[in-house]
Amino acid sequence: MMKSLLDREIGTQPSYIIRKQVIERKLESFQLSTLKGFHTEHGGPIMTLALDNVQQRYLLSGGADAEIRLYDLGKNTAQLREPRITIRSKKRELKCRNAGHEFTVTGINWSPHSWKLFTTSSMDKTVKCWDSNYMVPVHTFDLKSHVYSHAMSPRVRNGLVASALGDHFIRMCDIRHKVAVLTLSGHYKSVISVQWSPLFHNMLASAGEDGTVRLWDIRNPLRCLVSLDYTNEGSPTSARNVGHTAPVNGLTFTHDGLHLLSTGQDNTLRLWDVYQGTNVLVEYGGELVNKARLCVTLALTKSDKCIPSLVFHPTSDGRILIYDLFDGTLHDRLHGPMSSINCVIWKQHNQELYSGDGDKRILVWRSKVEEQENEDVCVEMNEQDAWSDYE
Amino acid sequence: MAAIEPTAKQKIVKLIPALTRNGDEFLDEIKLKELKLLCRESDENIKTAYDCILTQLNVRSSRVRYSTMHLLDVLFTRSSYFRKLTVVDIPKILELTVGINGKILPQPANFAIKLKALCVGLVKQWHEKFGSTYMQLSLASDYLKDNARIYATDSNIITHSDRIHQMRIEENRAKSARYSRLLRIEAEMQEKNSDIVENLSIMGNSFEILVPKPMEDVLSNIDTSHSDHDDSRPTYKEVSSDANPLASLLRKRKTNTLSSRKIAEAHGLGSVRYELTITLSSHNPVDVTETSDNAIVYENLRASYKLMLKHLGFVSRWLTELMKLDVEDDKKREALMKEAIDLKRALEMAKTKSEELRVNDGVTKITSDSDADSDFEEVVIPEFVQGRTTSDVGSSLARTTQPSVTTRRDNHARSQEPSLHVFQSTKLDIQPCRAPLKNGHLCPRKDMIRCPFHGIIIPRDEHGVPIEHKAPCVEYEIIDDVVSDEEKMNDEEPKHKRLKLQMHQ
Repeated sequence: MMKSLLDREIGTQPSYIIRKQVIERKLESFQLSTLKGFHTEHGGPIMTLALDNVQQRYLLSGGADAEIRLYDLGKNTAQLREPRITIRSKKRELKCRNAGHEFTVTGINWSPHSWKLFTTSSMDKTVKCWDSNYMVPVHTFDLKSHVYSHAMSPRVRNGLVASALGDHFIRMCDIRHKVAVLTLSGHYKSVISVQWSPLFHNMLASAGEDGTVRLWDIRNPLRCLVSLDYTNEGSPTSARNVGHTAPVNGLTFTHDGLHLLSTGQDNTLRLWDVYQGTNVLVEYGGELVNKARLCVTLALTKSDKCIPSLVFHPTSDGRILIYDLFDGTLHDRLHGPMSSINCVIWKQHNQELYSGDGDKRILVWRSKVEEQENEDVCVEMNEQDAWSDYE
Repeated sequence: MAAIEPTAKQKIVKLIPALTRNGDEFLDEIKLKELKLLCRESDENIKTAYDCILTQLNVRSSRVRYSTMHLLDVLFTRSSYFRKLTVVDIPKILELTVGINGKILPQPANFAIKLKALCVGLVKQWHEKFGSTYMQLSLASDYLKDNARIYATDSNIITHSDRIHQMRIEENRAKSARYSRLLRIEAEMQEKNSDIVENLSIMGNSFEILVPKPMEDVLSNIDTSHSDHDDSRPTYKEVSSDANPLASLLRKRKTNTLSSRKIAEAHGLGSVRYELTITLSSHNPVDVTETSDNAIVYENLRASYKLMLKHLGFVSRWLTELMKLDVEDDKKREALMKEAIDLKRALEMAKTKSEELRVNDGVTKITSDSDADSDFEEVVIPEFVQGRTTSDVGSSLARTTQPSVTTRRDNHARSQEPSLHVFQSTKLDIQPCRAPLKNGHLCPRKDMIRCPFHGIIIPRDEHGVPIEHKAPCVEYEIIDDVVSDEEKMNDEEPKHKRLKLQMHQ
């Protein structure tokens, strides 16, 4: 470390190297935080988490108890002096039954470029738009079918919300005009997950219970662009193509939009090349356990010079597996909750991970290096051996 | 590494199943210590131990899992590395030991219940101790708390270390109890010692008065007087017992040839070549009898003898207690033992002496008279059993009890006479029903009055045809048999009623 500082001083080494080293050290010792935590406020398993894209400060959580809570992460992290930081939800929690959802909240999305608006989907067959300042729903789309997840278009001008529905369709709603504008049909079973491409504004990826992963151009709603096939055989639009041999319940684009990651109940994670519509054939270890019925949220690091590209995959046996995105090696396993973890959120700013699990808890995962800076004496004592019987 | 590690590993691999096989909550101390020593050596060994423990936890028997959890707790509270390993697998361990996530614990059922309670308790304990370091423990504890209805058990668990602690406390308590007992005996001995010694000295004095010391006697004979033979006749005889100090002393003197010659000369024998015949009589070794002159001495001696017997009882009790006591301060115990043994020897010596003087004759008579309890047990009980008259029993207590016994016996005998008659089985000749059956036979049922199939039993001829005219009369006789003699005296009315009933039927 000292050598790196000297090298930077002399100028023989680019400045980012030190940052890279620090971050690497942090990532090596990832663990469940003992200093930071959230109050257990949800009455049921936490199904979804969303962090705003602007400052990565406001965290939204949706639970199976149909409640949505808003947490301010920035405010509380300032008080790290306390032995245990607990983050309480804002008073403006969405409890009101008339306005809020009736059943499990399946998805939350922040508006891409502001924290004034967010959308939620639920098993009560609706998608709602919320004003986050007043925490009241602005508009409710009644979609007449279970909404397993939804995604907001990253292009503000589109203003489109794509919803994955239980009736095999993907429905687009325009939140500016408050109407459902078009329907994509092609899946022959429930659609579980949808994602907008960050690169092509008209491209949408979807995955469903039928095991297919499809890419759509929304300008052509009648048929999908590509139905991805894990064997890389046959024509791109063949009806026989399957992405996974079991229902697919998680989808995410890499930040550059060049790759798509999908996870299925066949306990595999697959990386797809979006340009070519082919399986990249990365083998992600055999430890994956994915039994979730609903949508699973994966998290990816926004890789740059300093941060490696990592995938955080929540499993049904209460672990988070960290894989390297491109070579598939298992970087680390994080252990903690007794029941399944449903969603993970990566906070890039200070390298923190948030997870929502079946035990109604939101957990914070941090680097041990950071934790040790605030460590107490008693903690150190607990890490000592005590072999003698006579104590 | 290759040379040393495999042995340590193999040892651990062998030790852990041996420790956890029996499903006991006490772990074998020696093996456990060995394992702890091995684990202490390196983290690698701890890893091996941990893997072994996990394997044992996976065994499909709640009994094995139960003791494995005890072992796990022992290592968990000791090694930080072991904690790190365990914490990671907490969900899996809870699945195996509490049955979370819908897992079912294996047989035997009683151990499954114990295992569950143990594990819930352990997680709680661990959380209290290490929860600040290991967030996973808090999560597990909270999880069990949240699902308290399913998993929580109120019963307090006892871990291995608790048990060790408890055992140590008990041991200390027992040790202190033993020590206090030793001190008590010591105090008692000190208290009684002076009494015993005093009593012994009194007895010794009495003996001296009654039996002159042989040496003095002999010497006085030599030095002073040439008195007649009667006086010089030895008043002591060699007693076969070596313990008798008089005898041993005499023998000592006899071995001394010089003095024996002197004795011989003093007695006018002139030579030692005479053969002296000393007759030994076992029933009267010391030729002292109770006379009016030494009656007071004898009386005193008797009192002392009684006291001495009591003291002997004390001393032998102390001895047995000291023998049983297992105290760390062994020197003290041994010193006390020695003292007690010396006392006992002295007392026994005094006892034999007084028995030789026949002091005990009177005393035993008195004690047997006063000791009414033993009489009661020995005499009355066999008398009572055998039913003999007890008039010849000397004990007054027996006499007082005797009349009540006899009265009870008499009562019993009297009441037996008539009642025996009641229980004697009188053979009643019950007639069969004999109503004709469909198969040509006659009904073989024997009822007193009424056959459940053919009604009132009436006399019938050999073909089962009723003999009409006799019916009421026979019926009357049957009833007569049933009704007891006492009833007969004032039972005219019911009899008629019964007869009437019969007529109606």
